[in-house]
Amino acid sequence: MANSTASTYTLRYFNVVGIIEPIRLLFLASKVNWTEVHPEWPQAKFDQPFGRMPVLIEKSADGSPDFVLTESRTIERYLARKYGFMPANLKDAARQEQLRDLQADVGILSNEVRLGAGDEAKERLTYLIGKLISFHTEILRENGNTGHFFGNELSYIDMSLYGFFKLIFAHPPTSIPTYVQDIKGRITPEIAKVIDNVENHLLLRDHITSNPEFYPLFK
Amino acid sequence: MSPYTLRYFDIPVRGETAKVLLLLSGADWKLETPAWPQDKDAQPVGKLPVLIENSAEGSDAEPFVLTETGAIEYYLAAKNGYVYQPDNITLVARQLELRSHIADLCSAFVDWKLCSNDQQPKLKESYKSTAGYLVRLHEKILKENGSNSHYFGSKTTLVDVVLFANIIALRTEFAGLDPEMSQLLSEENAPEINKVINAVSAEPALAAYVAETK
Repeated sequence: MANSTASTYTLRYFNVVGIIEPIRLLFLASKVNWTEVHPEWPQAKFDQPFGRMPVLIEKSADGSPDFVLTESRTIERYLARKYGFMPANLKDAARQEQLRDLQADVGILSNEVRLGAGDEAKERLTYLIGKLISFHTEILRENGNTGHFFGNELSYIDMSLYGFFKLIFAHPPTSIPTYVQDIKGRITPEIAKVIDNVENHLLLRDHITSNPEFYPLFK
Repeated sequence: MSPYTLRYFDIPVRGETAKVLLLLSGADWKLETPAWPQDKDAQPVGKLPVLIENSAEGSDAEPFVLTETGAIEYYLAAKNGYVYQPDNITLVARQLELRSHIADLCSAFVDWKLCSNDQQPKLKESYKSTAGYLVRLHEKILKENGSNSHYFGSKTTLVDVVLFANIIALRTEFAGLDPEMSQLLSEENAPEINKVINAVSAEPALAAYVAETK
């Protein structure tokens, strides 16, 4: 699919790693014009369509009304479909959605543990991270261990998996929890290959290497 | 063997939209209720729901197995003609966005219902805030579609089903819990939303389902 340069994008979010790393990578991989703004919070809450961020605003060059979209994974899927990073086949697309939603589910739980949830949540997190790693590895093996989740090129889930791990690892260097350090020891070669491909992708590496705290991700 | 197997617990909310989509599609399907936690490790990612699309009689093909509520819902909807204009990525994005808002409302409800006493006030406010934003935005979208009891077009599509299944489930769970919370999505407060729920309730394929939830 040809990349469109007709639209300009604004993304409203907080100035953190957060859940929008996959969106940032999709923008970069799609070579679109985009900018990120960080509204004052909570002052700007009521002005957002659903009282939350991220919010995507797409301005078309033809002057038609702006397209405003909320919900981080919906924004991801919109961009992934528009710029050719989602497969057209329904089952393959469903598999991408499944992998992404699994990452997000574990990401939400990881955030609860970060905020002080108890031992039961920590145990569930350790269990689900194990399941996530083994399931993602299985899909990668079925795809011939190409270092991509689908075919031989950068796909939506390559980028979202990078974003998922970056969020899990986003702790001050002096207070990295044990379960986070343990994750690095559980990464399979298949997953490491995907992350390596993302980190070295021509369109992504300037952004990725600009933050030495997270590069390389599996140091 | 039924073309579809849906594995879920015998409680409402997360698996409901998939059940309703299967009923509407007229497909042959069955519900499996795994023993929990005994059957947890046997699931692809240790969670429910799981959708299994069995291969046709006599075929060697492996079944297609899918997890994650949203992925299952979209797959079933797309397969059975319940996505509005599926080739229009802008409209697909809007449908997924609205679906996500409704799912977030249900998560906020579950968080409130399962939380400890000291968390109650904060999570109740969080639910009320989410409900407020949902009513504000969705009532507007429904009016923009002509107040015809549907989110898109003039027939039941995915978001109508998501709203129906989730709100019916919430009402069942809310019954007797907290009148203030139930009022947030009442006919008085959210007339267009309730018209959608009533329209889906009237689908002939859902007669038995609706009767069971009353």
